[in-house]
Amino acid sequence: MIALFSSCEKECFHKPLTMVNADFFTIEEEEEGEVTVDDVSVYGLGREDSLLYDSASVRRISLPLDPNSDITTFVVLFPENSDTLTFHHTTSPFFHSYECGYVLHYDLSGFEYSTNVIDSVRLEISKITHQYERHLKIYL
Amino acid sequence: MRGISKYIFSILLFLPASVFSQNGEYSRGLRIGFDLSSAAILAIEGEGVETAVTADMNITERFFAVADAGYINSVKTGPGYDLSLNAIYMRAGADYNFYRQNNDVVAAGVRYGFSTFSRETTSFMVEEGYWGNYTGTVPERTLGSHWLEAVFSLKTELFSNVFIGWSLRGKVLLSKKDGADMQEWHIPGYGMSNKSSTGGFNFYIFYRIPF
Repeated sequence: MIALFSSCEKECFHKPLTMVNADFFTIEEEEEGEVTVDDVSVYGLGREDSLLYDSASVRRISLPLDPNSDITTFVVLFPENSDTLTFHHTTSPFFHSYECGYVLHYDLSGFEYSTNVIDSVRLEISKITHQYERHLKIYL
Repeated sequence: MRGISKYIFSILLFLPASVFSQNGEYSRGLRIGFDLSSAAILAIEGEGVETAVTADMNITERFFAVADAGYINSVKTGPGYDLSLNAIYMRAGADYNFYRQNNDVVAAGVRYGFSTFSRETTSFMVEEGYWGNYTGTVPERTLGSHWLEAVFSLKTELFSNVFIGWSLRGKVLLSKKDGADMQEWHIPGYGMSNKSSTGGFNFYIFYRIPF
C-alpha cells in the first residue's frame, strides 16, 4: 500500500527541443506558399566541422541557439549561393518536470541576415519555448 | 446498522472486528495525530525530513474542528538537477461524524489548505549537443499556494484514547503563485502544480486527551 502512494519514478518522454524553427516560403503572384528547398546545408558559424543539415531537402530548418552566448550565427548553403542568419537572444532555464529536469527557453531580441538567396525573413514568434511552433518565415 | 459499520471498519482497516469497543459512550477530547504515511514515504525515498501532524476536537456531538500542519525539508535529485525544498503547509476545516456508537469516527468534511515554500536549484545542467552543455543555478525563491479539500476519514479507538485511522482526500487548487520558471512542481500538502485537482491518502496514529 505504501508503494502505491510513494511517488513513481517516471521516465522523461516529452522533453521539448527548443530550437528556432524556420520554414521556407516563396511569393508568387502575391500568394505566399511553403516550399521544399533541395540541397540545403546548414552549420553554425564556428562549427564548420559539424553540419546541422547536409544537402537535405527541407521545408523547415530547426536551428539550435548557443545557450552560453547571446548571439548565434548560422550559415545556410543553397546550391547557387549561401546566406548567413544571425540571432541575438537571451537564455533562460525553465523547469520542465521532475522526470525531464530543465529545458532552455530563448527570447529573440533581434536578427540579421544576408540576402544572396534569401529575399527576406519575418519573425513570427520571438519566444522559443515549444518544439513545433514556427518561429520564422524565410522568403526566397 | 452497528454491525454493518463494524464490518466496514474491519474491512477498511484490515483489523478484526473485536478491536472495536462497544461501550456506546461518547466523550469529548482533543485528539492529536501523527501522519505515518509521510514518514513511510520518506523512509522509502530517503530524501530529507517530512513530518505532518493533525489535531481535532469535537465542537458538538457530531461536528469536529480539524487542523493539520506539515513540514518538509528535502533534496530532490533528478536528471541533471539538484533541488532543495523547504516548506510548511496547513489545513483547517470541519468533519461531520456519521457514527455515534462509541468514540470511533466515520466522517466527511472539508478543509482549506495552504502552503508556503521556498525552493532553490543548487545546480542544473541542460545537454546541448551542438554548441555545448549549459549549466547554472537558480537562487532561492518563495512560493505559495492554496486549495480546498473534501475529506472522508475513519478513526477507531485501539486502546483507551489511542486511535488509528486514515483519510482519503480530493483536492482542488484555488491558486498558485509564481511558477513562471517552472512548468510543474510539487506543492507541499497538495501535489503537482500542473494538476487542477489531486487526491491524497494519509494514515494516522492518534492520542486523545479527554476532557
